[in-house]
Amino acid sequence: MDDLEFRKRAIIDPDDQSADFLEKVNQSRSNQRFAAEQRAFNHQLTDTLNIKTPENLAERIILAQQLSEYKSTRRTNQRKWFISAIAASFFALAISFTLWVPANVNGTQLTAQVISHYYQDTHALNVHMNVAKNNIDTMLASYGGRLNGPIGKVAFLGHCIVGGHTGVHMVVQSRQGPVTILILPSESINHAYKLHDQQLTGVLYPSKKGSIAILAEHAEVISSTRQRLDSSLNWII
Amino acid sequence: MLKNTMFKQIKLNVGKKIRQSTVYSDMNRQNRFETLVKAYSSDLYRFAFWLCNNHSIADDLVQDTFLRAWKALDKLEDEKKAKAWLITILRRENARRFERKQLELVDIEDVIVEDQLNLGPEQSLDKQQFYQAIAKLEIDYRDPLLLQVLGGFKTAEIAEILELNLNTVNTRLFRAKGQLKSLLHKEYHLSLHNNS
Repeated sequence: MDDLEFRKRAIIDPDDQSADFLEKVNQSRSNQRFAAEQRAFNHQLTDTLNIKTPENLAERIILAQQLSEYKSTRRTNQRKWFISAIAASFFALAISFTLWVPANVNGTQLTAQVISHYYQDTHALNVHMNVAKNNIDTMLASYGGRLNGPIGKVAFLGHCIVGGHTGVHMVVQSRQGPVTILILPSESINHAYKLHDQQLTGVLYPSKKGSIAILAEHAEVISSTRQRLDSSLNWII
Repeated sequence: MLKNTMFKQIKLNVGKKIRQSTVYSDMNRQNRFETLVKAYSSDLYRFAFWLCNNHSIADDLVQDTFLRAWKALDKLEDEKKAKAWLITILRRENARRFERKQLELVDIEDVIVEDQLNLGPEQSLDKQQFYQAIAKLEIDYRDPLLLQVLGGFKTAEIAEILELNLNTVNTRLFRAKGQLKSLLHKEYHLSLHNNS
């Protein structure tokens, strides 16, 4: 390799590890110095190009993907429901009105959606992010909320979509295992509901803004988590 | 698809009502996507910024890139090639932006120096000169440079991503760095002249 070829290759890729290039580098001090200068220039470029990136970028990307997925699923379900609804409507007309029992459909639907969301997002139970309070406050601020005190060790924090609206999904580590908290500022209900199935237990209750769901495998952590959350969570707007 | 989906049958006990519900959960696909986002979103953002020199557009580009990646995730066969795959999608999204004639005219002199406030005056000037020089690079030279310096790709990988032959990539890298040095030289002397 002649000097011209060497200089060209050093400029193109100063980190070239091919044997002939390295041999040429080691041939003289001036070659070593030249290769070092090109590496330094590359490092300076890297340093300049490594600009700061926005906070919560990954979270926003995941939220956008989940929203897009939700809309897509909803469109498919709406088509299926439309066909089922037409068939069902003929049957419904034959039922006497005395048999119809009014129910709090909103709250009932929301409890089902909360539990469904819990099972769809169980990967959150295995994440250990060690989330700082200011990250939680940043996320809550977008809904007009803030924490005035600690609520425990938060291992997962993210946005979620329940009932067609976004909310905050947290997982707090406790001695009895992970506790899932869903803060749903856009989902209002009239009264509290107990939640339980074969695997978990919990509560869905009205908050000053929307509602809050707390779910865990062991009942004893539910009330203590609720107490801590209610004393810390402050809705500003 | 079946191997990537989990089928759960869950009994819901809501108040006194018992319902049986079936929930499809594509956990593996979602986990895979989130892993890619957490691993590469920052790198992609930086790459996008240097393609368009605008933070807002870069943000949109990265969002669009990952939405496309989500839809095409099954096409990614080798996780080791994920970064190159994502950058290819990003470059195509940027090309689409031009096709839609959503060109944002950015004054090169207004390219924001991110941490300018945290640098001393001399360092600030150096970094600003670098920013200006990189922003003025021709597109054909800029992309291979970004892939090497920012992406950490080898020249052979760059050739594959850009669908060019290796000699062309080498030539463009050589000229990119030559052009940068020349621009920096001019900027340096211009700043000396202005200061005097």
